[in-house]
Amino acid sequence: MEQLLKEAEALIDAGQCNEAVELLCRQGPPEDTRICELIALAHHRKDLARGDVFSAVVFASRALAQGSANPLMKEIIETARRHDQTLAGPLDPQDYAMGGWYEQRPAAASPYSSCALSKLKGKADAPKDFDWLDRNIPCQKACPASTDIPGYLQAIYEGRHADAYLINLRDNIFPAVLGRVCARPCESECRHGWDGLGDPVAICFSKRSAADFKPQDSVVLDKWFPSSGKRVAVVGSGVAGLAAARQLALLGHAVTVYEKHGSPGGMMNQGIPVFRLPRDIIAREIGQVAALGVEIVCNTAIGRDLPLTRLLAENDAVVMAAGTLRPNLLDLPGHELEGIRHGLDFLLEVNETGSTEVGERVVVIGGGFTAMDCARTARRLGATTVQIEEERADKVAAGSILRIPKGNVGVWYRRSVDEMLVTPGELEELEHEHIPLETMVTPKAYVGENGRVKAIRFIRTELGEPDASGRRRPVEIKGSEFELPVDTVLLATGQFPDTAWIDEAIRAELAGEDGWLKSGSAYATAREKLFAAGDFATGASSLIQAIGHAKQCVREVDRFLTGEVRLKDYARIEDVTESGRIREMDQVPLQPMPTIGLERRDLPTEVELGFPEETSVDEAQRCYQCHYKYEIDSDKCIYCDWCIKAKPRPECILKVKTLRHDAEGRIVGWEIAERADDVNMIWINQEDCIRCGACVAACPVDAISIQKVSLVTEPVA
Amino acid sequence: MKAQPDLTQVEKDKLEIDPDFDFREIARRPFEAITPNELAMFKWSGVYHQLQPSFFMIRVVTPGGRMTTRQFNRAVDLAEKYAQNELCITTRQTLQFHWIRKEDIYKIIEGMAEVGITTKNGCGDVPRNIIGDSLAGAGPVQVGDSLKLIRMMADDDEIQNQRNLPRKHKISVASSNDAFAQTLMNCQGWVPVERDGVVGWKFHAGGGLGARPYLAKVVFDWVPEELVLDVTRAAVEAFRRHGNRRQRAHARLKVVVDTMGARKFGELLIDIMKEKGIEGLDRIEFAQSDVPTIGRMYLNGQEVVPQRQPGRSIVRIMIPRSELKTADSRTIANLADELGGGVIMFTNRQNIELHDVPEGNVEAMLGALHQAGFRTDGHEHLPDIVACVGTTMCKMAVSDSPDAYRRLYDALAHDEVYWKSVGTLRINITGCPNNCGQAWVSDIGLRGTRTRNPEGGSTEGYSIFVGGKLSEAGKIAEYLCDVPNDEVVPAVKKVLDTYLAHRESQAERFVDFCERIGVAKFQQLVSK
Repeated sequence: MEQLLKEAEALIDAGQCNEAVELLCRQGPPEDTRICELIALAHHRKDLARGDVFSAVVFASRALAQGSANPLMKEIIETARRHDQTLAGPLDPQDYAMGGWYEQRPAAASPYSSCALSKLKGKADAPKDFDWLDRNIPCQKACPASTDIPGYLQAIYEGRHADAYLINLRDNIFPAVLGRVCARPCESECRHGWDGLGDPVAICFSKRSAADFKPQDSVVLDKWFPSSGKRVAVVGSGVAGLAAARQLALLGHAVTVYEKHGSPGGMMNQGIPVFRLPRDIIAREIGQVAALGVEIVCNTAIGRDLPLTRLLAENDAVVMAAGTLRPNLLDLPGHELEGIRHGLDFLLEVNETGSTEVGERVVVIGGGFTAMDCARTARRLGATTVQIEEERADKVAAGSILRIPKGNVGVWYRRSVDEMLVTPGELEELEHEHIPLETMVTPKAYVGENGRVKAIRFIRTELGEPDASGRRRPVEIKGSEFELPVDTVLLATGQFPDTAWIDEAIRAELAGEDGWLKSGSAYATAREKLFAAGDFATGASSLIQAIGHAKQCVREVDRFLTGEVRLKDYARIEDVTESGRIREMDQVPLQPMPTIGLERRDLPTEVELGFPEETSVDEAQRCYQCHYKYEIDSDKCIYCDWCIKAKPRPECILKVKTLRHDAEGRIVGWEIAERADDVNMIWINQEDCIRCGACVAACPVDAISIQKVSLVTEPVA
Repeated sequence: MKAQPDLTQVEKDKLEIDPDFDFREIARRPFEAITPNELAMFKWSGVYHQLQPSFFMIRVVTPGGRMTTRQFNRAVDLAEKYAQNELCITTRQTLQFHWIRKEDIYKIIEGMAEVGITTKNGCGDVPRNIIGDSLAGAGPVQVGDSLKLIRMMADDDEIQNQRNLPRKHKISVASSNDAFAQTLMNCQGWVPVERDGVVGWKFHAGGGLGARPYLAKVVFDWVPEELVLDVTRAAVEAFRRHGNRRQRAHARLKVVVDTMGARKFGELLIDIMKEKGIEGLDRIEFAQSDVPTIGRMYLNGQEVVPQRQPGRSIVRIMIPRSELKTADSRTIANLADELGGGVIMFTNRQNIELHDVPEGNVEAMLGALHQAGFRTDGHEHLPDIVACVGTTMCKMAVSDSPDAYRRLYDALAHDEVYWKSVGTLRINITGCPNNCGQAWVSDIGLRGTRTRNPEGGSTEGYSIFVGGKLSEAGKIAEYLCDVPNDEVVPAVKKVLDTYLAHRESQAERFVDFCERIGVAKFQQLVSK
């Protein structure tokens, strides 16, 4: 007994009050005076809520009744007593502003700093509003073109593929193209893919399905403004150039795009293989840009055929979107040998002519998008040297990779798989197509014979400290050199902007000796009227990055042309009564993209088949619809905790003592309340909220509102 | 594939976990080895995990609220030993033990079983303790033998073995057309009707409180007594089939009846009975109107009620905050044996009635009760306050309703002139929206809440509702105002003084006053 009391006391001193009570109850129903005293003490110390006060009183009273002389017992009973006060004021009903899911909110300013947004409804544009969008719709934030991803996934789920396409068209200009080849920065940020929440939504494939199942006619957007009378020239008809042109056209400007090749499209046409991106898809979406009145002049190289200075003289503004056409050739011994070429040059040739000579053994060096395209393209070239068994032969296409020996094309990369910047799923396709990938190797020299490369010397590497890009730097391992016989080396080692075409008269003003623009990734250049968009300014990136950059660039151009800000971003806040989701949608597995078999994989046949329509709807339902905001009206809330009891995530609803704000009013942190009286708010931590609606169903007083918050860009009235 | 609604966790648990636990085994099992899902299913045996993690609450089942003194004494003995010397009377006319250790659960269950009292279906998604009015079997205004029906339903395996209903199911049987059996707030409400000397029963369905209250509708005007059990079974079955198992907040029969309407629900019951081959269904009469016409309370402050059995009386005892300390329980039990009929009746206002007291013993009984400190006056008036356990022991509660009870009682219940001037008045305090304290249907209902303080933290308080009733068509109390906990007494006083100052006459009861002026006007009057 003495031992038990001592242990219990120690537990109480250590703040483990529940454990102390459990221990004190172990030997029987608590009745001994000293045990009752300690149970009273334990609850008195805990003192988080009225239940603790009450428990302390119950056992203190019993101890006293049984003759306890412990003065604390009387004190516990005395301090527990509440005293009546006089009325502090009139008896008023509760007053609240936000309300619950069935209530309509006015388009007024939010009454408290704790509110998620600056307004209760309508259009809001305070820093906290954009901050909310950034933190709560991670896919849209990750998309350089700010695509309204939840918006279009919802449309697909509702079977409105045409609307989904329209949302994409508005935001990223080339939905069908990006639905196939986008780098998908959104998917790695998708809330569904967060720790413990499963796999991200197949956002990219869904985008494609919107394009696949909408009516196949041309979709032309309405212009924001009538004709401005301003003329703008765009240099280059890649995604950046065309995106800039489309946006400029919507703003009412007359646009001419100049392209040095025979057809527009830039990297879409010249870099990306047909088996990933059929050319009619590109043509249709470029056609939708042209349909807005954008003139596309091909076979006209600025600099060679038409000087930039003349464009500047004849137009009100010029946007340079010339991409990155200067290859990064490795300066290795033997680099002048025949059979060594840059990947982009190789892809351009194959894409324009349908073939090229690569020999038997091809080594691709690099670990990015181009490396993947080079390898898979090279894998499809070559003689039909593999004999196919007779009964299967008619099922295997003439150019199928099954007819080509495997293992002759390989990718060699100096870091590990984790550092590779490739489209998700591409490495799996590489393996599927029997293309070996060797990592942690770096080339040291080319070995030639008769002026032609016959081998390449590699050295193995290990990963060292991170470099400027954040990726770990490969460090060579001494003595690990080896040689690999090769017929063709394809360098997918990056490319830079080429500024050599800029008139000499102004080149020095604009570009540095390294060939890069002095203005860096800025939209404006050193010269008035002249702007830069896409990879030409930022360096090689992705299609979606280039589109995003071009869109922002156009807003600068427009401001320059008109002298005013004519487009404005808002957070549009709308009341809704339900999200339409059920929790089981979260358990639906990620839908795989159907692809064609190896027997049909040749140079021109698209590998990915796209989701069937039904699958597209199944996949879209997985989206949490992060644009919904669930928020508790703290004035209407009665602090019953029922939502907390129903919550699916440990951090999604919190009892907070205080919220922390920055100078701009953004909510940047919180302090949790331990004691019931310290709880200032029961607060939905929307960043951790998975939009399941369990709290709304649990709330007995309907104090939780659901609103849809979307980023909109609109012409200023 | 598009996702289809799956069973909720609770529904899975109900299918997978046998609700009839062996509590001797549970006593041996380490607490950590009991899953939260099992813990939740303890309720089916009347066992609830209390707010304090080391303790449990156990609720017994006493159909109609009746206990013999032998049964009651057993409960008192067990409470003395295992439940910190205390029993609580519930608003559904039964008893609760608190502070029970896991190791002692089976001792209570077995101890009560020895005197014929079960805890099976004490809580959980089952047909709960069947209630009636406290005057059942004895009241001077009795029309039908409600106790007979209650016993029949409580003993019916088909009803009592429905262990997997969408949610709880509550049945009330009244002994006459009177609000005292709370007909309109039960899933099923039976009221006797006499026609030409034959007693049949009027059937109401779809009442229920909780966060979203509904008042029952009349389904059948007339059910022959011999078909009452069949209709009761059919209603339970209809609930089993049609209750919303996906959303617990919308699972109860009240939502089914509200969605379907009384007529369609009645047709459903007839169909279910036809399926079973029950005959004579054409003798059941559908309701002419689904609007109830429950009579006003016969009980209105009486300390002693003469029984229909000549020479006997009912003596009514007020139990402060429903808490029965061992010594008080023993006094009551002894008096019931010595001066009464050995029968104890628990009331839905958490008080006790002693039945079958010979007329000659009434004075002695009252004297003995008063001497022991019990109060017998003030029923159905200001002193007769109902309160749930609130944050003292319940996990769901927001406010300390027993504390509000005590302060209101101490401040207002002793001023006889005042409470008599106020007249008939029921104050009910409930710690959370579940409304175990029945605030929705009282004259003044207090529901626990907290209010945010602009300068930090929050303050426990109450939302005050007024004008609820269970007579006539019934009425859900309407929201008047919020008040912090330390201003409860002056706030209620102000509400009452406002009524006193503005009522038309002494004859205008509080509830009628509320109806006449409307809540908006009432708000105006107190907001000064």
